[in-house]
Amino acid sequence: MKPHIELKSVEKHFGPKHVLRGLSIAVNKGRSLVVIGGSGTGKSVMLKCILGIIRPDSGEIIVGGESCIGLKPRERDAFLSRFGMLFQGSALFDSLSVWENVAFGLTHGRYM
Amino acid sequence: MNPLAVIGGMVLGFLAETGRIALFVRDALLQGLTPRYYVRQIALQFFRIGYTSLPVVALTAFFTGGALALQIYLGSSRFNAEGLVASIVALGITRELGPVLAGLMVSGRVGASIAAELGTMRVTEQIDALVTLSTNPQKYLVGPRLLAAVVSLPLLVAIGDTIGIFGGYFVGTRSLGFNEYAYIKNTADFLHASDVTSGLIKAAVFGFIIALMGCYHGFHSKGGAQGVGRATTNAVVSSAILILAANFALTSLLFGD
Repeated sequence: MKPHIELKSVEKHFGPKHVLRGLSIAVNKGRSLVVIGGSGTGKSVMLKCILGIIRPDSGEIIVGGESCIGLKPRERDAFLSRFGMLFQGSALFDSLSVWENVAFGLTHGRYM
Repeated sequence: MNPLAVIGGMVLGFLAETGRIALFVRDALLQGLTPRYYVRQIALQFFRIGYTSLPVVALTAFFTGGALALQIYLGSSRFNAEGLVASIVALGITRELGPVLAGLMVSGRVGASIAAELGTMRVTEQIDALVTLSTNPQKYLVGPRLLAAVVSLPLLVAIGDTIGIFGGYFVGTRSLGFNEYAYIKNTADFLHASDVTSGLIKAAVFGFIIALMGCYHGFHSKGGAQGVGRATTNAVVSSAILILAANFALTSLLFGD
């Protein structure tokens, strides 16, 4: 069975700090994966690389059989429509009301 | 430490920063000029950048016009040329002081506000959250601010010019003994359309600089609350310096031989 999310030898530096060193993982469809580690060890960076918020220095990220590095804007929108991410600090839009936060994806993002 | 290495490091750092700003401008223009347009955001930024800056620009212009009239009167009376007060006030306000002072006041007010807002959004991962919701942050955050600043500043300067000339008129007629009709006639006779339009062109460029520096420093802030504070300071200082430098370049371009 082919993994649904696959990272192959992903590397990421921030200046002299080497955050991801040849990271390779595979997650099959329907499975849950828990990543545990100390602060600054690259857990969030890994997720942000998968979502395209951060571009890895090298390596390959495959989701649903397709590489997701260097996608064009429309392809990225379609790709991101399959994801949801809850950020560590909630990342709520504090200038918007609760209703606007809840409906943001509908009113601003992918569906309208 | 080798002083040459320090100088070299500073030059490389400056060039790298210039390159990053150029890429940011390219992305902002590409994203800002292409659909989709966030009309509500654009309207909100027009209100914040343009409308709410009106009192500070008006007060600055009024007092500057008044002070300018006093100074020119004192200077010109040394060689019996008091009649030039009205025309020099009008030229000084429309060509230089109106756009530059409005630009500096708005950079302190709006540039800092933009950098603080976007900086806070960056460090609290709200900008990353926008990306995951398929919303381009350049299009949603930067484009509306750039557009609003570029359009609002000339409008603010036009109003500021009028109030500044009125400040000179007020001081000239109430305190320096000028005839009201003669003061207005002198102003109208010596002021050309190009004096006003050159100031408005400068204002549009200053608006672009203010919004760009606010967005750039806010967008790239890091390091929590301290980083947001640093971004705010950098936005105000860099926009003030760039406004003064751009003013010199535009004056040379528009009025140079």
